[in-house]
Amino acid sequence: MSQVQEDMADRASRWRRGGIWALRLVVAGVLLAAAAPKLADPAGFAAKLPNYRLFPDLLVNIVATTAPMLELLAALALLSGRLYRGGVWLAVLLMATFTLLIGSALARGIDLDCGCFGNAVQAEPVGALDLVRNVVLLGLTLVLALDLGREPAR
Amino acid sequence: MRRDVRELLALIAAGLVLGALHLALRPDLPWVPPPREEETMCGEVEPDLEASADDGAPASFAPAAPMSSPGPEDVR
Repeated sequence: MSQVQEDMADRASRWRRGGIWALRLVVAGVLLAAAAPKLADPAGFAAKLPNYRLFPDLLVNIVATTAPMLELLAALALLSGRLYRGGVWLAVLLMATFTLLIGSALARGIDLDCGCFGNAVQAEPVGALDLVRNVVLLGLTLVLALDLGREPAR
Repeated sequence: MRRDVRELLALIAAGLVLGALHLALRPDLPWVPPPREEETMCGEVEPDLEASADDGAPASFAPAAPMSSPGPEDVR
């Protein structure tokens, strides 16, 4: 490989690593912003879960405390690089689940507050914009997952 | 791939344990919540269908009053 080709490959690799780092920061930031208010007020989040009409009463409180904990762990894994690969897949799993939950509520015409950011934001009925936001976030996490096949970007 | 699954399962297990611990430390959140009435975003309580069927107007599928049969003068 010539020197010019090596320089170009090196530059492309640096750009890719920079982009992946930016994606990690964005996804981790969103996960932290979603987890913090729910961890601070799990009772408020637990009060919103039955409105999805999907969770049995028995599971509402354990889901209300476990879901933000999983968000926090995924964010920490993305930021620290420890258990990075598991963190990426956990972020994909969480985003896919949230997207399905919002899509399901929209499809059934339930006018609930999604509770995505706990009580940190003003309660508004879930809408198509929330679904688009989650699909975009799911796409970002999938980009991180696809990058796992390449060299680890730590 | 096996490493990915192992790390994912480790994180999920840690999340479940920490979530259960968090729930155990919150006296305002019981493990099994009491049954509650569902509320929509507007704060309207879901109407109880059975209760609303009992009172008020009769159901639309109630048997209609029998029509009088035509008398001999109508047949003519």
